[in-house]
Amino acid sequence: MSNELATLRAKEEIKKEANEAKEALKAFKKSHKEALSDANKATLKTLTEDYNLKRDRAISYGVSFRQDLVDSKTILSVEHLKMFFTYGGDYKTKAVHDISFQIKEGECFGLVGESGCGKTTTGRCIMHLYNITSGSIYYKGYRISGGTRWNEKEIKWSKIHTAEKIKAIKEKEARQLSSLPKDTDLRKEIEAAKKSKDHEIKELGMMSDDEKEEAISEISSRYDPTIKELETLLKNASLSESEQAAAIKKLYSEEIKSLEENEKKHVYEQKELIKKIKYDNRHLNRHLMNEIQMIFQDPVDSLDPRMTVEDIIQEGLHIQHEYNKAENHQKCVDMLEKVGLIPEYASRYPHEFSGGQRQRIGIARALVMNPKMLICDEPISALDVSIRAQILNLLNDVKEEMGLTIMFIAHDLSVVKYFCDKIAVMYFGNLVELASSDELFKHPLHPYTKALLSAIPKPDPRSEKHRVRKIYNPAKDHDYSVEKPTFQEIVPGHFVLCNSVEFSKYKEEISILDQSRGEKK
Amino acid sequence: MENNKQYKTIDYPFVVSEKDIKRDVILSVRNLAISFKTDEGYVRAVRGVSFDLYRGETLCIVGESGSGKSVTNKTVMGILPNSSHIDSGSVIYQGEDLTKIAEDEFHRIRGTKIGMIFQDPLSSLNPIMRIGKQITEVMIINGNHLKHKYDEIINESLIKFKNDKRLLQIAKDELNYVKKDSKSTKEMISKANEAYLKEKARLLPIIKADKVALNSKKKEANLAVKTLKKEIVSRHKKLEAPIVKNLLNFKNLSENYGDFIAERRRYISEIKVTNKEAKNRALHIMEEVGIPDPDRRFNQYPFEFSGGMRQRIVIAIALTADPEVLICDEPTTALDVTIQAQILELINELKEARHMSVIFITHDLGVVANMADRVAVMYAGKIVEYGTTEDVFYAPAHPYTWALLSSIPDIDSKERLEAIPGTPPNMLYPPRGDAFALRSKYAMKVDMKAEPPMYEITPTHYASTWLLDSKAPEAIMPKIVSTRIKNSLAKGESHE
Repeated sequence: MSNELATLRAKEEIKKEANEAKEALKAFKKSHKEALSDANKATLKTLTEDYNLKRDRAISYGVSFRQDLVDSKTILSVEHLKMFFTYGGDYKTKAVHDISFQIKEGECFGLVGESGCGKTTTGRCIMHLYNITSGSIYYKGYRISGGTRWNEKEIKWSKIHTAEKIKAIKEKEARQLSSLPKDTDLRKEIEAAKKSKDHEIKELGMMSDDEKEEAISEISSRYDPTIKELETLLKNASLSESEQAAAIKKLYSEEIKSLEENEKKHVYEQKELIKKIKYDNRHLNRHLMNEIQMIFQDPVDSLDPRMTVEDIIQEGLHIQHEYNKAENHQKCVDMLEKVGLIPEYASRYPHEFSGGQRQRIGIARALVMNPKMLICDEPISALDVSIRAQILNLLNDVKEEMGLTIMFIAHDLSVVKYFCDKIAVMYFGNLVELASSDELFKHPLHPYTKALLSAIPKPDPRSEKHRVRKIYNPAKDHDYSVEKPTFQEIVPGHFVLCNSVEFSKYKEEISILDQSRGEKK
Repeated sequence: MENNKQYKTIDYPFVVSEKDIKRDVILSVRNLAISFKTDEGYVRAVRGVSFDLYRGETLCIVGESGSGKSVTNKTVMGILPNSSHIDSGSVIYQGEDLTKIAEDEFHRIRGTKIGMIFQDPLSSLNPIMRIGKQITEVMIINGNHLKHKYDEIINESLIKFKNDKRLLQIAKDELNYVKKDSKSTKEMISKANEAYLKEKARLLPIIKADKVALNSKKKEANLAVKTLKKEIVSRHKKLEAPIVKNLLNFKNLSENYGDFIAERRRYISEIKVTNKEAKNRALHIMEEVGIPDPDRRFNQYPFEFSGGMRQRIVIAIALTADPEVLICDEPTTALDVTIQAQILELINELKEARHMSVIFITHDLGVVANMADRVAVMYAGKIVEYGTTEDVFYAPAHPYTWALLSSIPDIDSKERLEAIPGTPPNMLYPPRGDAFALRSKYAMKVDMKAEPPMYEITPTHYASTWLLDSKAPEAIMPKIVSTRIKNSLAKGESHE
C-alpha cells in the first residue's frame, strides 16, 4: 500500500514539474511576443526542450525506460523484433524474424535487401503501424512498442517442460520402488512349505485316528519351525520395506514441489512482463511518436489527389489539434521553401506536379511535424535519374539543418553507400550483415552482400564487360546442419550472421583482403 | 577563346541512300516527329528523331521520362493512341514505311517480326487469364502453315520490290525538299529535277523487272501452296478411308472412333498450329526464359508469380513469335537490383541465341553500360548524342550527357552529387533554341536562338550542341565526370 502511495506521489510531482515548465514557457512567450533577440531565442529553445522532456516523462510515467540508451545517445533501439502475419489459420508469414540494431543520434542508417525481405515491414513496425509480434522497440529510452509472443511461448513451454520433468521423476520413483528387495520370495517359501506339509498329510492313507494324529504331529514338528522362522523374517522385512518406500516418496515429492514452484514463479514473472508490455503499448506517448516521420516510396500514390498541397501538409498538424490557421499557414510556407518549392504551390493539387516535386511535397509533409527521426522508405526508386540526385541532396541538406536521424530503406547499395554512415543488409527477415558503410564496402563478408554488390550495374562499359555476377544460394553457401548461425562481431563494429566455422573463415578473409590491398598500395 | 574543332554537321532530314540499305540495317527511323492533341494544344513529344538499328546489335535509348523515348518505340510497334499525330518522318522496316501501312498489314509485322516487352509486368498481363493461354494465344492466332509458306516464298522479292520503290520515292522527296526550300534558286531546282529524272530513268526498268519477278514468285507460291494442300488432303483421305469403313461396321465403335479423331487431328495439325503443339512450344520457351517447373506454372494466374517471374513471362510471350527485333521498354525499372541483373542477363543470352536486334529503353546509365552496343541519348523529343557505348561513356560531348553521368551515385566515390537543376521543358511550348540550355551551365546566347545541328565527332559519334561549333569557346566537362572516366579507363586497362 505504501509503495503505491509513493509511486502516486512521484507521479504527481513529475506532473507538477511539467506544468511549471509549461507555465514558464507560456510566460516567456507572452513577455517576448514581438522581437526575439538571439539570446532570447536560445532561452526559448532551452525552455521548450525542458518542457518537452518533462512532459514526456510525465506522460510516459510507468512505461519501461532505459537510462543506458539515453546515456549512450542511442535514439532508436530495436531488440529481437519479430513480425509475423497470420492469415486466418495456422499459416503465417515470418516477415521479420528476430532482428536487433541500434541507431545513434544524428546517424544515417541504411537498410538494404531485395524486395520481400522485410525491410519496409521493419520501418512500418518502428512507425507503430503494426502491433509487433515479439521483441521491443525503444525510442529515446522509452519503449514505444512491444510484442508478447515470446513471453506467451515461454509460459507455454515452461509448463510443458515442467510437466515432462514431473513425469520423468514419477517414472524414476516407480522404478526405484519396484527395485526394492522384495518379500515375495519368503512368501513363496512359506507357501511351498505349507503346501508340502498338506500334501504329506493328504497322502497318509488309511490309518487309525491315533496313528494319524501321531503322523501329523510328526510332520508338523518337521515343518513348523521353518515356517515360523520364515514368517518372522517376512514380518521384519515388510516393515523396513514400507519405511524405505516412504523415504523415497518423500524425496521425490519435494523435488516435484520445487519444480512446480519454479514453474509458478517463472509464469508469474512472464505474466508480469506481458502486463508491462501491454501497459507500455496502451500508454503510447503521441508526442514522442510524432518525432518519427516517414517518407513513402511512391510519390503518386502517397498523396491524396483530392487535397491541395496545403491541406496535405497541414493534415498532421490538424490531427495533433493545432488549429491556429495563421500559424499553420506560416509553417506550411516555411516547409515549402525549405524543400525548394514556391509558396504559391500551396493552393495547387498533387496532379499538377512532376514526380520529383511530389516527392518534395511528401518530404515537406513529414518535416512539418518537426521530427527528430525520418524513415525514408525507398524515396528515390520511383524517380527519374536526374531527379534522384536532387532529392538525395535535399535530404542531405535537411538532415544537416534540422539535425535529423535518418533510417534509409533501399534496394540499391550504391545509393545507400552515398548516403549512409551505417548499413544493415537484410535477407528473408534476418539481418545478415551490419557494418559502417566504408567497412562494408571494404570487406563484404556474407555471400549475400557480395551477390548484392555484384548485381549493381556501373556506368562503365569496360568494367561491365568483365563483371561476374555472384549468385547467392543459401542451401549451397552455408552448412548449418551442425551449428545454427548467430549474429557475431568479427571486427569491432562489423557484425555477420555466421556460425563458428564461418566466423574463423571470415576473419581469415579480412586479413587476406587487407594484405592484398596493402600490396597494391 | 575559339577552339579549333572543325566538325562536319549533318543536315536534317537524314535520307536513306542506297548505301544505307546495303549495310545490314534492319530498322531505320528517319526524322520522326509525333505530337499529341490535348485540350491546351499539341504536345510535341518527338521532334525529329533519326537512328539506325543494325542486325544483331543492342541500341539503348536513354532519357528522362517525357523525353519521347517510349513514344518513338510505340510508333515502331504501331500502337500509338488515337490522340497522336505523326507530323513527319518514317520508320523503315523491310523496305516498308511502318508509319504509312494499314492496320491489317501491320498484323503481319507486329508481334511476329517486331516484339515488345513493357515496363510494368503486372499491368501488361491479363489478370483473369491463365499464363499458358496468354503465351499460346499468339501462336494459335498466327499459326497457319500454308500462309507462312506463301509468305516465305514471296518475301525476298517483295522486299526488293518495295525497296526499289522507296528509292524512287526518296528521290521524289529530295526534289520536293529542294522545291519547297525558299533559299534554293531556279538553277538548283532544275539541277535537282535533272537528278530526279536521271534516277527515275535508272530505277523504273528495275522496278518493272522487280514487279515481274514478284508476280512470277506469287504464282509460284500460289501453286506451291495449292499442291501442298492437295497433297495433305489426299493423304488425309487415303488414311481416313479404311477408318471410316471400320467405323461403319459398328464393331469396336469406341476404338475406331478414337482412330478417326486422331487422324482428323493429325490432318488439322498439318494445316495450322494446334493447341497441343502450341502448349509444347510454350513449355519449351518458358523453360528457356528460366521459369522453373513450367508444367505447373502453365496453369497459374499472373498474381501467383513474383515480379521477376512475371517479367520473364512477358518476355516469353514476346519470344513465341520468334521476332527479329525486340523492343524493351524499361523492362527492369519496376524490379530490384538482383532480379534486374537476372533479367538483363536473360535478354543478353536470348539475343545471342536468336540473333535478335534489341532496342532497349531505360533511364539507368548502369544498365546502358551493361547492355548497349550503341547509345542514343534523348532529351525533349530529340536525340542529343548518338554513338557507340565507349564513345558516349568515355568521351561524352553533350552537356546533358555530362549532367546525367554526374548525377548518379557511384560505388567507388562519395563526393556530393551534381544534380541537374530544374525540370524538363513543357513540350506544349517547345523551346526555340537548345532545349537543355535553361538547365545547363554551359549555355550560350546562341542556344536560346537556334537549334544546334548534329555534329559528327567521329564517324560513329554524333552530338547536337553548339559547344562543338568552331566558334564556340572551349568547354570542359565537369570534374566529377572526368575523374570517373579516368578511373574507369585505368581500371579497364588493368582488366585487359
